[in-house]
Order: sequence, then structure tokens, then C-alpha cells
Amino acid sequence: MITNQRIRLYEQTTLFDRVGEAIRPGGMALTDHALNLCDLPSGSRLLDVGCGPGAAMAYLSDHYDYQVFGCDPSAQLLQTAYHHGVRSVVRAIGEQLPFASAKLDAIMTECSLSVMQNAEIALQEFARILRPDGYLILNDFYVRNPAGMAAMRCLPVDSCLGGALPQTDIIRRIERHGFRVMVWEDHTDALLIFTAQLIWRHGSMQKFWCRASSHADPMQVQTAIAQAKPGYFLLIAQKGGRDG
Amino acid sequence: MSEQEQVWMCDNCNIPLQPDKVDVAYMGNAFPVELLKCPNCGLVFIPEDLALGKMVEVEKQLEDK
Repeated sequence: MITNQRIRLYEQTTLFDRVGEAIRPGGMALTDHALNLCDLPSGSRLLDVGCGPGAAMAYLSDHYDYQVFGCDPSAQLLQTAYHHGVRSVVRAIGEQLPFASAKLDAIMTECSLSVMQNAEIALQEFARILRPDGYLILNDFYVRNPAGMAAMRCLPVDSCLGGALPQTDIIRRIERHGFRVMVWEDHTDALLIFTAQLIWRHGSMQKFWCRASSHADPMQVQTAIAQAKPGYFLLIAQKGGRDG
Repeated sequence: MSEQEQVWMCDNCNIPLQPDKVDVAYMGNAFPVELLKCPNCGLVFIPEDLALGKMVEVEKQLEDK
């Protein structure tokens, strides 16, 4: 059954219990890899936009000598973060960040830009609060078959899938906001493993989508996904484009 | 440990299998799961319903990439 009611998949954290350490593909290994590529000095100020229940923040605080901040629009997820001892969090949307201009060394947004209402304004905000040459670390879904993108847009589930774009569109969008893209890596294998873990947890992807939403037709979701062939990427960009 | 888990014995070592982390690999992709395993020789028990259920689903998913 399809209705107008939309489901926020990322708030249904119990669906991801025992799947991995984070509600996204790649886990902390991908976070480590991205941070190694940036090689930020000790004391760097890093903001996790879309920090959710704070798993990455807790990990970063334990393993790196950075000042880590987080923000998320979900009160429910921030409460979970607070229960896990994560303190430097604020309730905010990516499009309106309560941080001073040019004060942050890095922004990390993992599986979050694609669920934001207005990614263009969010990127404008990222460019504002990052210092010159500051890093934008972005990992998210992308569409490997652009012809199947329209079907994914119509899904009644708010997840990274709905906002996914083709690689060229993502790079162009980032560059338009004054960033120069340093790294683009395909990590679709991490997405496959994440999907396999979801199947292991729920029995099948059909059962996963049934549990995720009583309003989404699992067959419709799976057909849309099969058409769009989603992949997963890591992008690292620095503030200050060719002209900036 | 559940009743079902206590039932299974390792045929080689004659000791009870215990739940343990096992890496499941297919087509170059591996991920950790918990399965019954012999603590002595490492033999892993995969029940039929698992082999014909979740494992088939995972294989299909990885083949369709």
C-alpha cells in the first residue's frame, strides 16, 4: 500500500541493531580511511553533520585528538547520543548550522547530505563555516544508473536512496559551492556488505522493508533500487576552488 | 545458550558447539556473523534453513551488484 505518509528510515535504529557499528555502509573503517587522507593536525575542530546517535562522534573522541562536534535534526537520535555519553551535540539542520564562519577545520557528513531537504543550502553553510582549505568529507549513496533515478525519488521512505544523484552531478554540485574535489572513491562493496548484514539480521530485504515501513510497498522499493543501481562513494573536497 | 545450541556436538572433537564470530565470504565480500562453532577444531555448523534462506538471499544480493 502506498500513502503520502513518509517514513524516516534513519530514525528506526532498532532495524539496524546487530548490523554494524553505524547506520551506514563502511562503518568506522571508512571514517578512519577518510581522516587518514585528510591528515588533520591534533586539536582540529571537526563537525559531524547528521551525527545521529553519535556512534562516529564517540569513536572519534576515543581514537583521535580532535575537538568533535555534532548536529542532527532528530531529537530522538540526539537523545540516544546523550545516553551514550556524547555531549557536544546540538539540534540543527544542515541548512542552518549554529557555528561561526570559517572556524571549523573539517566537516564530515556521512550518509546525510542525501536526506537533507535542501542540499544546495547545506553546502552553502558548509562553505561558510569551514576555514579556507578546510575539508569536506562526504560519504553517501550515488546512482549508478541515472535512468532509474526517478523511481527512487518517488519512494515513500526518507533515506539516503531518495536523494542520491549520479557521480557527475554530485561533483558538479560540490564544486559549484567553492570546493575543489580531491578524492572520489567508489565504496559500493561496503554497501553490498551492509546489505548482506541487513539480510542476515532480517531474513531478506523484503522483510527489512516491511519492517521499515507499513506504507512502503517492498516490491516497489526493491524494483526502484534494482533500476537505479545505487552505489556508495567517499568524496573529499577542500574549501577554495580554482577561483577561490 | 539456547536449548538448540546445546544440542549440537562436534563430530570430530565430541564437544558442544558454541556461538562464535565467523566471517562469511562470497564473491570477494566478507562480513562477520555469529554461528555455532567448535571451540577446538573450528568446525562451523550451518543449519539447512540458514543455508537455504538467508544465505541464498545474501548470495543473490551479491550476485546482482
